[in-house]
Amino acid sequence: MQTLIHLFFAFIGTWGFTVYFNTPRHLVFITSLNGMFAYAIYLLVQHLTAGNSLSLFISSAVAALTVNLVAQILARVKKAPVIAFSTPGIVTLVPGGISYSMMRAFTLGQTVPALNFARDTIFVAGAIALGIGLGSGAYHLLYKLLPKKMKGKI
Amino acid sequence: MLIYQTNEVLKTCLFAGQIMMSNGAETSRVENTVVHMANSYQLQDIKVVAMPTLIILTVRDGEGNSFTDMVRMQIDERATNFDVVVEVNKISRRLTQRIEDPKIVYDQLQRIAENDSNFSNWQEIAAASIACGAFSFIVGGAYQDILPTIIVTALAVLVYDLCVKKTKIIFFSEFMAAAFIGLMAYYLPQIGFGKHFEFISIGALMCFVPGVAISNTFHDFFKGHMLSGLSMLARSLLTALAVGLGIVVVLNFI
Repeated sequence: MQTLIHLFFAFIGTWGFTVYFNTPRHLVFITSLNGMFAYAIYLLVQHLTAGNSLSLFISSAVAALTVNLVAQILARVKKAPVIAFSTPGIVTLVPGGISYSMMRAFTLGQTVPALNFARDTIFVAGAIALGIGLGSGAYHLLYKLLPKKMKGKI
Repeated sequence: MLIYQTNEVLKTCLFAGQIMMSNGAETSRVENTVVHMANSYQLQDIKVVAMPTLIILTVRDGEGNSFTDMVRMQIDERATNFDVVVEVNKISRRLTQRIEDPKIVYDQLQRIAENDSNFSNWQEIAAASIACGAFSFIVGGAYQDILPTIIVTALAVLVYDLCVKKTKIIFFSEFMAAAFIGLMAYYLPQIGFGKHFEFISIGALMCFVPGVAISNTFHDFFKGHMLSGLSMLARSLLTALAVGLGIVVVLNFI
C-alpha cells in the first residue's frame, strides 16, 4: 500500500515537471507514466539489493537506464526528441534529500556524516549519468536483437 | 527544381538551431537538425558546430562556393520548452519530404518561437508546485507537509522570476529563491502549518534542481560533445551551489 501511494506521488511529480517543461499536451500522460515506471523499477531494485552497500547506486543506475531506454523507444514511436521523454523522468531520481542532508551536516560542523552523505550524492549522480549514457547504447544493442517484423514499428 | 538563395537557407537553418538550443535541446540534437535541414536544400559539405551560446554553419552550394554564417545567443535558464523543440523537429522532418521556401519556413519558426499556446506560465508554475508537493511526500514527509510545500514553491518561483527580471543574474536569483524557501519552510511549521522543516524545503527545492542542465550535460558527454558538456556541467554546478548556499545561509542564522 505504502509503495502504491509512493508510485502515485511519483506519477504526480513527473506529471508536474512535464507540464513545467512545457511538453506537448499529447505526450504529457505517457511521459508521466515513464517516470512512474522508472520509480517502480527503482523501488524494486532497491528492495532486491537491500543490505548491499551499493544498493543506492545500482537502483539509481538501473532506473535511469530504464527511463532512457523507454524514452528512446517512445521517441521513435511518437516521432519526438528523446529528451522530451527522458528529462522529466530523471527528476524523480535526483538525490535531493541526500544532498540536503549533506549540506545540513556540513553547516553543523559534523564533517564525518557530511562526507558520508557526499559520497552517496556523488554515487547517485554518477549512477544517473551512467544510466543516461548506457541508455542509447543499450537501445541500439537491443534493436539489433529484435525480430525483423518488429523493426519497422519502432 | 527550384534553387533557393543559400544565404536565406543558412539563416533559416541557424534560426531553427537557435530556438531549439535556447529551449532546452541538447547539442547533438541541434547539430543533427541543422544538418538535416541544410541537407534537404541540396547543399554540400555541411559542417556545423553547436555550443550552448553559439552555432556556426558552413556549406558549399552546387557551384562549389563556400558560405558561412553563425549565430550568437544568450540563454535564459527557465526557458525550457519542449513544445518548441518538438515543433521545430517536425518542420525539419517535413523538409526532408518536400522542400519549401526558406523565407516561409523562417516565418513559421518565428511563429513557433513566440507561440505559447501549449501551457501558460501560470499553469506551469501550478504544475511545478504540485510536483514539488508530491516530492516532499516521496522523500519522507507527512501528508500535512504537502500543502505548505505547494504554496512555498509557487511563491519561490515568483520570487525567482522577479529577481531574474530585475537583476538578470541567474545565480543571484536562485540564491534568493532558495533563501526564501528556507525562511518559509522554517516559519510555516512554527505557526502550525506543515510539520517538518526539512521535507518542506527539500520538496520546494526540487523545482530549482538543474534537471535539464544535468541530463543535457551527460547526453552531450556521451555523444562526444566535450566542450558543450563541460559548459553545461559548469552551469548545473553553479545552480546547485547557488541553491545550496541559499539554504545554508538560512540554516546558519535560525
